[in-house]
Amino acid sequence: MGTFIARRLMTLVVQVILAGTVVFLMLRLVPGDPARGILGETASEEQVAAMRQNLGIDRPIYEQYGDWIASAARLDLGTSIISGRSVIGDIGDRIMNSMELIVLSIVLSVIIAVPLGTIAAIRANRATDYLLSTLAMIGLSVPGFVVGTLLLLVFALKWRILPQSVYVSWSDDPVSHLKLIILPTLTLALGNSAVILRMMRSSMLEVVRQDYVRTARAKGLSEFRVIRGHTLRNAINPVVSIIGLEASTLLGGMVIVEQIFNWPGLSSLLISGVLSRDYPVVQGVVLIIAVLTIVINVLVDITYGLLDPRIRMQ
Amino acid sequence: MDTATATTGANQTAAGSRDASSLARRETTRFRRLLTFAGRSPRIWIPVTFLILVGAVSIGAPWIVPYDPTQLLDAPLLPPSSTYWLGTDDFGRDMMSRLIYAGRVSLGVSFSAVTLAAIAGVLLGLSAGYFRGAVDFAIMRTTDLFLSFPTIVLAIAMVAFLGNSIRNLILVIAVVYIPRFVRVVYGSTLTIANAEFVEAARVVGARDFYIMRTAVLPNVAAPIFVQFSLSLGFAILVESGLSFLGLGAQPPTPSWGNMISAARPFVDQPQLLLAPSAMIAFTILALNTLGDGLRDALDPRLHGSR
Amino acid sequence: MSRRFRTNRQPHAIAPDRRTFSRRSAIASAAAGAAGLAGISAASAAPRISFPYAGRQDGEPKRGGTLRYGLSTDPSNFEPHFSTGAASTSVKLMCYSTLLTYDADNQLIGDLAEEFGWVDETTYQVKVREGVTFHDGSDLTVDDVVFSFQRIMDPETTATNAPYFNEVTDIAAGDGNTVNITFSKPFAAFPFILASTNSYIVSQAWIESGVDPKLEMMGTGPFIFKERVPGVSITLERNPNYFLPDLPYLDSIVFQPMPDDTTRMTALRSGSVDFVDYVPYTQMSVIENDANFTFLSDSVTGFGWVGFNHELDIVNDANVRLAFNHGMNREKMVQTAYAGYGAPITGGLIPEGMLGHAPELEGTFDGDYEQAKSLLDEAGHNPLDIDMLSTSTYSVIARPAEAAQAELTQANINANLEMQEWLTFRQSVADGTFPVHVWGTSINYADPDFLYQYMHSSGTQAQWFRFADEQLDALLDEGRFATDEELRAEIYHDVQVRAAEIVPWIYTIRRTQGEAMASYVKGYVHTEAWVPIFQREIWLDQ
Repeated sequence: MGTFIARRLMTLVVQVILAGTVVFLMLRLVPGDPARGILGETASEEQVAAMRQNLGIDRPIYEQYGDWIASAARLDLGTSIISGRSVIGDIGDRIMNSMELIVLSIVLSVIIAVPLGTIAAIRANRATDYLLSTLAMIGLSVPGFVVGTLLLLVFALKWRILPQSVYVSWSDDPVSHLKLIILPTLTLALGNSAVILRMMRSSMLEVVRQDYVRTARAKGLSEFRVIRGHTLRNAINPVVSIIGLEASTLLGGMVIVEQIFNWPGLSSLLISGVLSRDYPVVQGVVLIIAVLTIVINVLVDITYGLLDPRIRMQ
Repeated sequence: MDTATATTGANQTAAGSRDASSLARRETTRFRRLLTFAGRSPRIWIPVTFLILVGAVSIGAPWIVPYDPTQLLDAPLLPPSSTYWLGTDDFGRDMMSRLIYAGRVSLGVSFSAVTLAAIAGVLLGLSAGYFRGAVDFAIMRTTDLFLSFPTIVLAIAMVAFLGNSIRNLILVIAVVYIPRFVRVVYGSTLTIANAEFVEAARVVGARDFYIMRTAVLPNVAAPIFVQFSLSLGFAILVESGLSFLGLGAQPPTPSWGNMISAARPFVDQPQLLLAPSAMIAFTILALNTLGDGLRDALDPRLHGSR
Repeated sequence: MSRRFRTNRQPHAIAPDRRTFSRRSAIASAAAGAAGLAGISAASAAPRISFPYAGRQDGEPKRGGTLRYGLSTDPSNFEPHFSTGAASTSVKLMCYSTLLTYDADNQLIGDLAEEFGWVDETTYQVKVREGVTFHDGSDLTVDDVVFSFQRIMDPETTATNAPYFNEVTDIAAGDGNTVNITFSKPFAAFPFILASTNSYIVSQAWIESGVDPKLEMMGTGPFIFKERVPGVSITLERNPNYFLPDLPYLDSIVFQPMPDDTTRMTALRSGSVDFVDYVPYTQMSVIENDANFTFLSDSVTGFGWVGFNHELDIVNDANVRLAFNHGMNREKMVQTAYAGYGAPITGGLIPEGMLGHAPELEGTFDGDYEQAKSLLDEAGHNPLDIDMLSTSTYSVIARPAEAAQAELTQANINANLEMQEWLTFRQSVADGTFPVHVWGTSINYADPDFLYQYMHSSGTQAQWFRFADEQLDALLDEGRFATDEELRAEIYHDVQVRAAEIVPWIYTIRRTQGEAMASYVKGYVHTEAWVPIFQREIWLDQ
C-alpha cells in the first residue's frame, strides 16, 4: 500500500506540473490582453502598455513561468491581476461552496441509486428492472440546465416556494441557505443517480453470475443475506469509482448549474478568470482542480483496498 | 464499454492466426448478424426510427418550415394556434419553424463534430496502439492531459479564445471528444496488434498501413460505433449547454440550447421552454438507448454467441 | 418620456450653491447668465424638483430598510480611478464622491464642490464644500482634492481619465478652500470630467497608508463600505455623517452580483431583490407591462457603431464607407436588434438637446440601398464581399451587428460576420486586423467634445480606425478649446456635417438602457448621463 501511494503521489506531481505548464502557455498564446480588460474601453495604447508593465506581463514568458513555478512550489498562487485578491483565498471560498453542492448531491444520489440499482439487478429483465432502467436512462438524457431551468420556473417563479438567485451563507441564515441549496442539489443529483444506478445494476449483475454467489444460494441462504453478505460489497467497487469520477468532473464542470442558480462555486471563478484573462486565477484554479481530481482518484483506490482485501494484497 | 472491447479482442485472438482478408469476411457476417439482432431489439429500432425521423426533418427543414425562423411575424408571445402550432416567441417568430431549424443546427453541429472527433481519434488511437513507443507516449499522455480538464470548461475556454462561429463550435466539440475515441481505439488496438494473425501479416511483409486498414480497423469498428452513438448524445448536450450559456449558436440562429435560454423568463408560455427541452431530452435519450442497445448487441455474452 | 441633454454654457462664473434652491424654475431665474444651467424640461410628464432630493417627487421619504440590489456584473475591483464598468460605478459612486455631478435634468451641479466655474479662460476653480468628513472620520481638505487629481495624472496609476488632464499645467490649493486647475489651453468640456465617475476624490492619508484601493473603499459618499464576499455580495451601510442632510434614507444596500440576465430578472420578479441594473432588452416589455415594477430608461446615450481600418484597401475609399452608411435602414435595425427598444441615428450622433445637435442632417442615412449600390459601382466594388468583426460576449453589440449584416446584404454588401470573445475582439480592433468592425458603447459625457476620441487623429478610437482628417482635427481642436457656446455649437455641427461626407466611422442605432425596481422602491431617477447618483435618494415605501 505504501509504495502504491508513493507511486500515485509521483504521478500526481508530474501530472500537476504538466497541467500547470500547459495552462500557463495556453493562456499566454490566446489573444486578448488582461491589461486592456482592466483599463476599460477608452484606454489608450500607451495606458495599456503602462499597465502591462505594472502587471509584469510584458516580461519574457520564460521569466514569468519561472516566477510562477517558483512561487507555486511554495504553495503561493499569487494575487489576481483583476481583483487584487489572493488567488488561494478566493479558491478556498469557492471550493467550499462547490464541495457543499457536490457532497450533498452525491450523498443524495447514493441514497437513491444504490438501493434502486440493486433492486433492478435482482429483478433483472423483469418489469421493475425495465421501469428503473428507463427512469435512469431518462435521468441520464435530460440535460442539467433543462432540469434546473424547469425546477426554477416551477418552484421559484410559479409557486414561489423556494426563493432563488440570492446567495445566503450557512452562517448568516441556515434556513434560507437550506432552501437555496435544495434545487441545485436536486438538479445535480438527478443526473448523478442515473449514472450510479446504471453502474450499480450492471456491476451487481456481474457479481451475481460469480460462482461463489451460486454457492451461497445453493447453501440455502436467504436472498437478502446473499445480497448483503456476498454481493453488495463486491458490486460496490465500480460504483465507488464512478462516484469519484463524478465528483472530480463536477468540481470544474458545474458551470451551468452555478450560473442558473447563481451559486458562487469554483467553476464560475474559473470561467470569469478565463474571460478576463486573469492569468493567476486560471492557473491557480486549474492546478487545484488537477490536484483534487488526482486526490479523489487516490481516495477511490484506497477505498477499493478497504472494501476488497484482494486489492490490498497486490 | 471496456468489457465489450476486451471481449471482442479476446474473441479475435481465439480465432487464431488467419490472414486479414478472411478476417474481413468474418466481420461482414458479424455485421449482418448485428443487423438481424437490431431488427429484433426494440432498444435499437425505436431510437433509430426516431433519429431518422428527426434527422430527415432537420435536413428537410428549409422545405418543411411554415415560416422563416428569423422572420418577425404578427405579435410576440402568441399562444399555440392553428396558424402557429407552438405559438410565437418573444420576438414574434414562429416557434415551430425555429424548433425545426434548431434541430438542424444542434444535430448538424454535433454530428459533424463527433464525425471529426471519430476520424481524428481513430487515426491517433490506431497509431498509438500499433506503433507503441514514443508515438504511444506522446499521443496517450496528451490524451490524458485533455481528459483531466472538465469537458465543459475546456469547451468554454476554447470557444472564448476562438470565437463562437458554428465552424468553431464544431471544432471545439470535436477536440473535446477526440480523447474519448483515442482511448477506445487504443485499447482495442493494443489487443489486436499483438494477435497472431497481425504478427503473421507482418512476417509476410505487409505494409503497416495495409495491416492497420485491413486487420486492425475492422476489429475495432464495433466499439467505435458504440462510442459514436454515445458521444453524439453528449455532443448535443455540450452544444446545447454552450448555446444556453450564450457561447454556442448565436441568435437569431436558433438552436435548442439558446431557445431554452431565451424562453426562461416567460412563465406563462411554458411551450417555449418545454418544446426545445423535450427535443433535446428525447434525442439524447434515443442516442443513449441506441448506444446501450448496440453495446449489448455486440457483447457476445448477452446473446449467447460464445 | 425622455428628458434630454441640455447645453451647458461655458464658461461659468462661480455658481451659487444650488442646494439652496429647490425648484428648477427658481434656479433658472437666479442663475441665468451666471451658471446658465437651466433649460426647458422637454416632454417631462411631471414637473421635476431639482437637485438634491429629486426623489421627493415620489412623496415624503421614509427612513430605514435595506435595498437588495441585483447587479449585472461582479465588480472586478474598487479602484477609484479606473473605469471598471457601469455596474461597479453603481457601487463606487455610493462610497466615493465627485466634485460635480448631475441633477435629474442632466445638468451639472456641485457635489463636493460648493461653487465651481472658470475664473478665466484657462483656470477652473472649485470651492470645496466645508465640513465634509471621510468615512474614517477625517476631514476632507483641499489637499485631498489636489492629491486625487495628481494621482489621476500620475502615469503609474494609468487612470482612465488621465488623457483629459494632458493640458493641465498646475493644480493647486487657493484661498478659501478652493482648488485652481490651470490649463495650457482652454478646455470647455473639463467640468464634465470632474463629474465623471472615474474622478473620485480620495483621502491622501488613506491611500498613502498602504491600503489596496482595489479591495476596499473609503470616501465621502452616502454609504460606508462594510464588506465584500467575492461573487456573493457587497454590503454598504448608511453614512450618518453624509454632507447632504437627511440623505441617505436607506440603512444599507446589499449589492448581489447576478451576471446572468435571466437570473437577475427572475430574482427581481420573484422578490429576491428590489432593484436591478441593466435590464436586458428581451425583458423590457415584460417588466414595462407589469404594474408591480417600475422601469426607468433612456434611448439616448447608448449607441452602436460600424468602424473601419482606414489603412486597408477597399474601405479606405470614402465611397465604400458611404455605401455602408446608406446601406442600413436604421429603423429596421432597431426592430431586428432590440425589438424596437432603441432609436435610429440617421444623421449626426449628437442627440437633441446637446450642444451641436444637427437636426437637418436627420434622414441622411436611411437605408437607401440603390444609392449604396451606385456608390459601390463608383468604387468598383459591386457586389462587395468583406470581413466584418464583432463580439458575441455582449448581446447589445452582437445583435446590431447581425442586424447590420442583414441590412447590408440588401445593398450588395456581403459582410462575412466573425464573432469574437470580448477581449479578443478588443485586441483585434486595436490591431486593425479586420477592415470593418461593429461595436457599441455610450456617450461618455454630455459635451460634444466626446467626439474627439473617435474623430481626432490623436483620439483612442480614431487610432484604432487609423483615421486622420486635417479638417476634423482642426474643428475638434477648436471646439475643445473654444469657450463661446454658440461658436462651439457651430463647430460641432460642422464636425457632423464633415463626418457625413467622409464617413470616418458610422453610428447606427441608439439602444434603450435602464433599471427596473419593485414599485415600492421610490426616489430613484434614471439620468441620461448614466451616473447613478440618485441611488442615494432611494427609499422604500413599505
